[in-house]
Amino acid sequence: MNIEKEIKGIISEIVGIAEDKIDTKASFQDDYGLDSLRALEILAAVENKFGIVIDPEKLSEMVNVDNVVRIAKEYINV
Amino acid sequence: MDIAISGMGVVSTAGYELEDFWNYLYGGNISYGVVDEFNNPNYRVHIGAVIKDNMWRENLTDCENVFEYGRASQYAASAVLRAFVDANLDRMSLKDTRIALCIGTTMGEVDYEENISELLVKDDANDLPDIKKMAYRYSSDNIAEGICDMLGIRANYYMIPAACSGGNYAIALGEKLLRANKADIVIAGGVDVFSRVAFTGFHRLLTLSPDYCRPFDKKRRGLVIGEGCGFVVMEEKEQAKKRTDIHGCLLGAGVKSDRYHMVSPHPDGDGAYRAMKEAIQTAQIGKDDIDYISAHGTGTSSNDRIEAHVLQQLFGEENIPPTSSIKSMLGHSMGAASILECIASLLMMEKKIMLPTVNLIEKDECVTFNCVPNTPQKNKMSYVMSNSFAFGGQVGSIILKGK
Amino acid sequence: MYLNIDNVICITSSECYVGKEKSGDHACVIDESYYIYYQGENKSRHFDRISKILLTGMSKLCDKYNLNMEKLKTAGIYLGTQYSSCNSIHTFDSKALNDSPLSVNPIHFPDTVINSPASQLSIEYKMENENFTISNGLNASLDAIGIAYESILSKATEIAIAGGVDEWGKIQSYGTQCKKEVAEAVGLVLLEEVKQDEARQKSYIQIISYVSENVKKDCILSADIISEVLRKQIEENLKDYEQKIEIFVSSLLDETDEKHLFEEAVKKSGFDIELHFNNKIYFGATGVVEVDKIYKKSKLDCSFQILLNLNKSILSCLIISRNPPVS
Repeated sequence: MNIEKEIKGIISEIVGIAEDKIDTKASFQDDYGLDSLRALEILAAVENKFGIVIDPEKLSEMVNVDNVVRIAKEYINV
Repeated sequence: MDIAISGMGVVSTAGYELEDFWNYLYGGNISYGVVDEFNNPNYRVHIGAVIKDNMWRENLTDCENVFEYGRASQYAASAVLRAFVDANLDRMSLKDTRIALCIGTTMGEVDYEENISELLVKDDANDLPDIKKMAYRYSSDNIAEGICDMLGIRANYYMIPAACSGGNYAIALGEKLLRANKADIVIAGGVDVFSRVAFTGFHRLLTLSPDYCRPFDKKRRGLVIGEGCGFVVMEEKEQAKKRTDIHGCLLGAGVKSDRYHMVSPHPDGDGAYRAMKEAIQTAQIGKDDIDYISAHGTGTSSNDRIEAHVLQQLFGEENIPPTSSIKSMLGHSMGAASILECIASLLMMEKKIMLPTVNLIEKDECVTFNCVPNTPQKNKMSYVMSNSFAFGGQVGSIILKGK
Repeated sequence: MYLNIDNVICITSSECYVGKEKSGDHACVIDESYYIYYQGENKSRHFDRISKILLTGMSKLCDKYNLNMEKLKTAGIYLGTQYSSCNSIHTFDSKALNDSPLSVNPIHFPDTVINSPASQLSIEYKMENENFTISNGLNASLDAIGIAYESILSKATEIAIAGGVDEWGKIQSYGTQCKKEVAEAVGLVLLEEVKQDEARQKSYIQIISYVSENVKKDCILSADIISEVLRKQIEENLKDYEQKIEIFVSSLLDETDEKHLFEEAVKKSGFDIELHFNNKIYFGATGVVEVDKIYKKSKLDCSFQILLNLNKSILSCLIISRNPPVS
């Protein structure tokens, strides 16, 4: 399973932008206009996709695709 | 018109007699613990405040049709009846009195929706009559209708869902009705049952504390879901005094919209600030007159931080009155929270004692006021403010005066 | 009383949309084309169906009447609904039950509070004043208009957005016992104080009075009590204008029972007034749909309309007039 591709797919659906057009460094809040609820939606979707439980404290770090991938990998590899 | 609060009734996780309710909270007891229904691997948090027995229902023994209605309606009828008794009102001799019920809630008779959902999963055609019966009694007007039916009273009613500000909104509407001469007596309050929907939702929002509700603490981790019901009797002061001892008076109410976000408070607490200011203005007192504030104080990171910020903006950093949150003990009883806090505030004023914020180990830096940590404190208690900030940005603030 | 004051409280704008297509079982639903393209200011915000319907209604009201958006921010909101976001609650709960509690989408949770549609309205339109959802069954939107009227009278707000919205769904279909035709609807009106001359010139609907009362006696609906409510309202507000009054009744009763109850009540009141019975129910939006019909009629038979909504024990009574006679 390609973790990056899966996560990009999740975020593409939430942000409403095609997967190949997503900038992995763009800020969800500042660049894509997502609010705190959408951030939680991303966390929940990633947890459900990979069957992992992400520490709530990590939520504040999940500001762009790159960070989400990094954090998800920490839990998937455990 | 001076509006008195002449009676109060509670059905809560801290008891259902006013004296028991007071003693439980005065003793700093917490009324939450592991909830069996959620004590499984599907939930990461298992703590909630649940009314464990049905003893509260004993005062409905002689009432009609109790089991035709859902749990929220039964809580409400029981608490209204307690408020009647406390106000020395004989419900059999109120034929010519214009009574209005104003009832706040978050999810109404959600118990019925949850039962229906479970039966639909079961998919057994024999359950259809029960499903239809519960669906008929699901819409929120049934709560008010149920109170009238069970208690045999002829009252007008307004169901006012305003999430966690339900109680304060009900009081605000009650005040409107009395001043517009639309009612002689208003019974205002709020009710919510412990619900899977609420627990699952807050759980998914990562706002549930895994152990304690710790408002204003540096290491607070969220709220504890609860349930309950409270009602107060509101009427013109002299009319009340002819019949009974009053608990105090409602001086003013401010209800506003944050108009910012469905779950997050405005980052500057704008709506809360305006609601508090309006409450003080309509009460015609100075903010320096306020002796104590009953906080919304849910124990979440954002609520407590912004609540502290707003208090600073309104009162100035050095002049914030002592402020505590009884949610530290009751948990968050949703639509009943602000009415239970109103009732607790009136009891605090009678006893001249501020109830504590328990579970406080280290105060957060943003909390510059006395949050009455862990043990009750004596205080002059002439004027009290009680605040609530709800989902959807519904904010409410009331000012009470002791008797 | 309206005749002796310079200003009156009026409905100056009205927007309404009802479901027309029958969906499987016996309710008419609002077609997707009405609300599907609704997008708020922030396109990433989530709205459930009932909120989209309500927000679409509001946007049409604002566009049609070119409302002052700055002034609108100060308006109180008074929204009537019987079931509110019941569908969202049921969907959320069913997902938790059928899949798992961790599979629920957190953005759907705020939809599950009954004040959610009205709150979405306040957030989208930056409305900062009081915001009341009134969940009084069939009477909800008529009561919402009534409370809005009282709030302007008492100066709690200068202007008000009032009305109602209700959706059809699974729980509604199990719970509806009424045999009349049912339909989804959304309706919103703007209430404000205007000079009497302007009200007449523009044919605004003037609110004459509002009252709501429990009309059961010994657990039975009482024609006596209903007649007392009518008599009192007419004597206090419409004395000498009996010939110019008509009554519109909406209730969940069977048509025969409804006719019998209200004809008896009118007879006992001592007045001879024409009754119209509404044979279509829009749940909590029933009242505002009736108001909108009257607002949009090119010609009215009478000067005064008494709208009566009966929900279980409660009779709500709103008296309106588009062109009250000059004394």
